[in-house]
Amino acid sequence: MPVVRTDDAAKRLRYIYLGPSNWRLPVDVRFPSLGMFLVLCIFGWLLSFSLTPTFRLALVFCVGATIIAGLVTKKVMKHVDHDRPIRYWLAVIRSELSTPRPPADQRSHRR
Amino acid sequence: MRLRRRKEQPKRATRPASVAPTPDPVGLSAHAIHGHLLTAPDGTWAWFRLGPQQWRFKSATERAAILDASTIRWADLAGYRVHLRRTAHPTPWDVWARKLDRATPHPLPTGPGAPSWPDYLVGAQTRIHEMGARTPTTYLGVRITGRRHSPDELAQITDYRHGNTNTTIIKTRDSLEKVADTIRKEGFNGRPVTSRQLGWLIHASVGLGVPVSVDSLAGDADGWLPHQMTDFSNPVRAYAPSLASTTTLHVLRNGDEHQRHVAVLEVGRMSDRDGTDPSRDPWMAHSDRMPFPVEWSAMFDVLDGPTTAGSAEFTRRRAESLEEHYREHDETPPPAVGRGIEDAVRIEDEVNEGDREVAVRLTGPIYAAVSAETEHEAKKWAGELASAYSLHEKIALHHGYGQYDRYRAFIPGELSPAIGFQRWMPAYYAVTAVPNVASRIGDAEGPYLGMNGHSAVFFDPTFGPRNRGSGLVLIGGGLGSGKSSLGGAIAEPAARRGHRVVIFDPSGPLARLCDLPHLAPNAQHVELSGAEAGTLNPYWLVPQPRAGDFSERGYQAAVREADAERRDLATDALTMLLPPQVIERNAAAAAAIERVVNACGGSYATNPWRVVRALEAGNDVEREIGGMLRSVATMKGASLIFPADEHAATVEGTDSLPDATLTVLTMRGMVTPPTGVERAHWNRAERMAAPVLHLAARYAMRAMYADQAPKVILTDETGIIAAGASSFRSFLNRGALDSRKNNAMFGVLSQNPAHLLKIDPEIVNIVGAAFWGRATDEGAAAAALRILGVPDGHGYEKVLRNLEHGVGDFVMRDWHGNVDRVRIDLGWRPDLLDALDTNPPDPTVSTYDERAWTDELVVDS
Repeated sequence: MPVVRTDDAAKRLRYIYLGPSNWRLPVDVRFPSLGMFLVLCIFGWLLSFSLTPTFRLALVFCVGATIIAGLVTKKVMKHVDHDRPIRYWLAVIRSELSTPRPPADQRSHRR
Repeated sequence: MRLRRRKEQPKRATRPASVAPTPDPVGLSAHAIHGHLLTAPDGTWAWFRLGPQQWRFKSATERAAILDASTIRWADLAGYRVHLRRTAHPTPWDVWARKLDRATPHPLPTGPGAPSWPDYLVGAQTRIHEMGARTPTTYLGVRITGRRHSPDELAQITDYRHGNTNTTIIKTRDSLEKVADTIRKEGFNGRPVTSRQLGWLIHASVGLGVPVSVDSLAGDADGWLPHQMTDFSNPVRAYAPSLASTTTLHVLRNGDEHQRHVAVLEVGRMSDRDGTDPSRDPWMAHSDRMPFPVEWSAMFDVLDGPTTAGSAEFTRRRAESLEEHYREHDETPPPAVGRGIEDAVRIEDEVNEGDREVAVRLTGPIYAAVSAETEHEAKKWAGELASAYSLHEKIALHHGYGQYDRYRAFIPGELSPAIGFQRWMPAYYAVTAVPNVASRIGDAEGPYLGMNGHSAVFFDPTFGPRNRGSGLVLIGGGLGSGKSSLGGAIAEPAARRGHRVVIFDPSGPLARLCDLPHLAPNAQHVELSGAEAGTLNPYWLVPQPRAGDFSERGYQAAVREADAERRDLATDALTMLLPPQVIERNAAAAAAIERVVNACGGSYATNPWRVVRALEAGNDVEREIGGMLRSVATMKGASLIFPADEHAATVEGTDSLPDATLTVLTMRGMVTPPTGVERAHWNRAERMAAPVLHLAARYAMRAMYADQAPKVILTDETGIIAAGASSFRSFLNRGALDSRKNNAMFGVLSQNPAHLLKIDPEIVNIVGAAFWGRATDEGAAAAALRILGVPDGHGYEKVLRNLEHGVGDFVMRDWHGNVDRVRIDLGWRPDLLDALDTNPPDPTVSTYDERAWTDELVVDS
């Protein structure tokens, strides 16, 4: 009998953006990473403009928020792959929030 | 969150422990059950139990046929959603014990202080329970419609007696019939579960790892109505701390509270595989090798080619565009992209152009769960399972978060988490799981013999003859493989059941069975070396056929056959007493013996002296042979063949075996003829021993003809093989045929399978059951496989060669022809283990007190 395989090898591939055709980005950007980075950036910028009194200071905060968004994206996306897409982690968070908790006298658990 | 909890803790600590808030009972999504139908939020499901599939020790061709049949079944289910549940039923040891006790109307009476038959039954049940014996079982749920039928409608769907005009019911019924028809066929061999079985599965899934009480199944015979569904969940409370790696279950069953910790693992990347490779288990069944129970749950959508065509095209385009994007930047794409394109092209081709069974895809998550009494143990087992699968099956198992939802995925009727760890596989890959691989071997009727993985093996020595099969049982293996122990492990419980047991053990270790306190009053050890002259007269070792066993014509033929066999036996025995040089140098000598034996006839209890006298009255050659036989007739060994009285027709007192329940015949001091050495090089003692050992084996065989009661006869091959091919063949044939007629197990302990096959190449056709221990070399392993009815050349030789030495590891072929590994379990019978230990004392264990020796060396200065 010939060797058989799953369809994983093809399904596992994800779009990667390397940059415009004549300009290579320094990193390989996965689309989910790009999406997450943009969402975090926009959130950070909005926060910066709403919480800072001056436009100049807000711009400084925006730069900081962008850097933080990049670092958070990098950190988080280490845990995102074909088997565990972002939807998976959202589902895990939902699952964890809806899980019945132990009685008070047994809450000494540490993972 | 953490800070807030710390603030709350002191307030909660002030509450008395008795009123501490506890989680609510597990709420089930299932709405109602009727027969094998279950209503869940996503539709109506029909549940089936897949039939056991013989897999181990099958040839590659047979395995490929099994996989092909299963692939077609999956293709038939295209369009349906399925829930595959692999679990394990605990061995019903109490039911087995009751059955065995009923089949043992007259157990051996034992004296005061000696363990009785009820003691045996209790001990065996305790042992089976301790060993955690269980039988893997696979259930398959199929969503027959997306509509949630009410309990009344469920009843109407399965009620075929009355016609129904409701189109919804008719459509669901049609779907059910189609699914049931598919699952009944080869590949699945399934059948609908009863509501009781479905109830058991739900109980076992809600309380993973907790035994299901019989009382909890005593619900409505037809099923459970919505208000009764709480029967399943009310005694179960499940909870998990945040980001926990297990779910804790508190289950109340039979008035006892059980606590289990369940760790669920998700199946990740799966390697390429050859489903027929004998060196690898089916990937789902591999978990049977773990020392703890493993549960499986897989929720698949079965998709046909047209349904997946769009997705396949998208996958291919994505892979190609990825490669193109790399090329735009003058970069070589990673190898994974190339593999992805290759696979995507294959998938697209299969779903668009392939046959129906090749096109079908299964997609969904697969979970494995372990449950333990402590969280630490559950995590440890989860780690061991993941490690074993990574090493042996090249399958990644991930132990992640969201444990509570994943635990619920094991319960029939629950919705699949369906996000993450989605496996996509063609049906022809999915079938290599073989979840329903059979682990049943032996019979469910006999005494407990040992374990096959986690399944208890029972072996009734007379199951074959009782079911019109051969009673010939071959027990083989190299030196120290445990043949004698296995023989004893079969014989001892048979004797306790009151069945007659006769063992011929020339070297004598099995005689120690007679000393066991519970057997001793009914056991007898007979030392044949000192028996009365003529005890082994070849003419009375072949009994007269009983007229009642045959038709009139058949009886005459049987009498003629017995007559011829006696003459063969006498010819062989007398020839073997002569020096081989006489036979080799003088061809007329052998012919003379045969001629005279034939002239004397083969009637029962002919005196062999009659042959000697006839020879002495013949020509020169015959006279010389007659003289030689007369001279050896009084020597040690040979004297057992010739009665003291030359003219006696029978030997009084030797025409029946002792009346004891257990008789062990030994011939201590008898020299065993060497194997592999030509007869010409045997010394006189060895030459004398050959016919005597053979005739002694026939002597033991006579017990078979005593009555129709069940009986066990065990004999060593040593003398039989030494006696020559023709005698051996007739011996085995008679054993196989007459054991069936006389309700007997006729066991032969053998060491050399090649020798058996050389003498009788068709031996496998007359064997009822066989056990073979570790083989010493490739040739012996191949020969042993042939005796076991396993095709050689498929890699199973390695299994026989790798059997563990000295622990009772055997490959067994049972009465039904099923073949699998068994480990004889005598750990719970130290008395029997001691009696059966034929190994010499371990030289590394010194009884000498070294300290005393050291003290002796101390010299005062």
